[in-house]
Amino acid sequence: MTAVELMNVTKKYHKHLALNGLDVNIKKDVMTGVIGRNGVGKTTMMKMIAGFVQETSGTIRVFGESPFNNLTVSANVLFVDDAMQFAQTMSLHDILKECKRFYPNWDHALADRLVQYFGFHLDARHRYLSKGKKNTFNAIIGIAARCALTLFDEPITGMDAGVRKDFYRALLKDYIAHPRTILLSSHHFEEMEDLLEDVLIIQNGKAHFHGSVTELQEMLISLKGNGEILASAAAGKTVVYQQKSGPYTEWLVENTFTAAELDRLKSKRVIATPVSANSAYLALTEQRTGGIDDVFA
Amino acid sequence: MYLHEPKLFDVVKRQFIYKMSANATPFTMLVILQIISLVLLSGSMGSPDPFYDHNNIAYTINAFSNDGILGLTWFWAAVFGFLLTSLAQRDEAFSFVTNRLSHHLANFFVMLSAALFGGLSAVLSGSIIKLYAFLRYGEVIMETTGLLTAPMDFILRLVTAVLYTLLFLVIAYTIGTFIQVNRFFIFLFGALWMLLIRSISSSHGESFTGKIFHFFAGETSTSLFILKMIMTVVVLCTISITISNRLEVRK
Repeated sequence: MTAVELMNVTKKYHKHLALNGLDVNIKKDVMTGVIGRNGVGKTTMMKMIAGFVQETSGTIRVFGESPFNNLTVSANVLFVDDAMQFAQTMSLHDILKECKRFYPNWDHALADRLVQYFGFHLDARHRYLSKGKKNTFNAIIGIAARCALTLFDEPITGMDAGVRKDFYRALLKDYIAHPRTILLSSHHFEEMEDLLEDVLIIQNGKAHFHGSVTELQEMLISLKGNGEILASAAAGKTVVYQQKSGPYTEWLVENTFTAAELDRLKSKRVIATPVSANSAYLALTEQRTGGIDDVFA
Repeated sequence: MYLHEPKLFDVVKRQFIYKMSANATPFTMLVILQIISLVLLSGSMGSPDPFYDHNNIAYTINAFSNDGILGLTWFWAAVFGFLLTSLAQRDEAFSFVTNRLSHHLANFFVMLSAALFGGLSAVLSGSIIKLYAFLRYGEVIMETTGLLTAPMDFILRLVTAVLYTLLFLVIAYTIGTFIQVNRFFIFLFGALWMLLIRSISSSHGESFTGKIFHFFAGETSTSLFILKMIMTVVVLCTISITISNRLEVRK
């Protein structure tokens, strides 16, 4: 079952192309990580799914309906980010009460417990919370609302390490108890690897990779050894990343090696190891034309 | 997780309740404004020196009026109507369930409540002025009619005040919506305002501005007046909804 479908979606802000022919199918009741470098269109995509902004061309379907200006989509989709605005006159307590009125699946007892656990004063004003606190509070809304589709856009910005860990755990526990479609964008992919089922990597306004975390890991293999031997071993395969440290060279190569080939490499003292999903992501989204060092060259 | 199919009416109702508690401050402001104007603007107007008729009887005329309160209420209405279209208000609404139509409809009901509250309280403040005049000068002749002496007249005064307050709210709301759609409209409305002002001073009698003023303020038939006001409000609200239906939020 598909929850969200994007077909050849583009979004233009004046002359700037934020999304450029994005094709994505997000499975229902799956937790998907949306990752990508800064400014690749993650937020734009999520805001289009939430129905806040309209696609310039292409088709978007959320639960089979076009999301822009759609009441059904709005009732079943919650977009959580650090720019969520609430009326200045309302306390955190008032905001939670409003959530209860608006979202039929809202678990008020859970929200209360979470708010208490993370040490909020219920009569505090939302706009005076610190950045980390604000995002923690917004994340609590995202968890307790239990919308059929919840979009978390950089939810952990400003949270300290302890709160981040608690947030991941709270989200996972609630997700297991109440499976629903969740999109989670973040720059801290290494922290979320164990949490996510699917990964969507966006680059240059397009879907660069979309599959399970294991698939992403198995796409690449790390080879360490003598540079010349590596070159012959990787002939005909895509090398996505090269790094030289001391006498050893490490290459991340497209993983199409057979078991026999790997055995042969082993005899040539090449160490082949699996890569972490985060390394695979970084390697896949690496700028091909030089690094930061070249700026200062 | 199954999908919820919300009804427009329910969403509007929820948004309306949310917006009313979110906009508690403007309502409090109105009460404060009315109290201030009650103290400052409603004192007795007229000559302190008595004048004498041919029988050498001295007359002192002290006129009291709640015109100042009404004027200030309408000014408040215009500011509040404009405020309702602000970016912050829109973002706040879209933190919860809504689409553009339900957002506008909820705003309309907020304006209706504001008009009822503002209009009624401005008219009823007249009673406080009468009480003050009575306590200060003792026997006074009440020129205006009360609920008991002329109920229709009294109700008409309430209806008129409420409708004019609503008109000010909705006009400001429409202007605000235009400006939210495109900032360029600021200049257009500025130019329009200048034109209207010039039209007052340059020509006499039936100037363009005069005609507009006459259309709303010069109607003598009650039912026609109410019809005119309601039609204007409906037309302006429809314009607001139509022009901002494709407006993107939380960009």
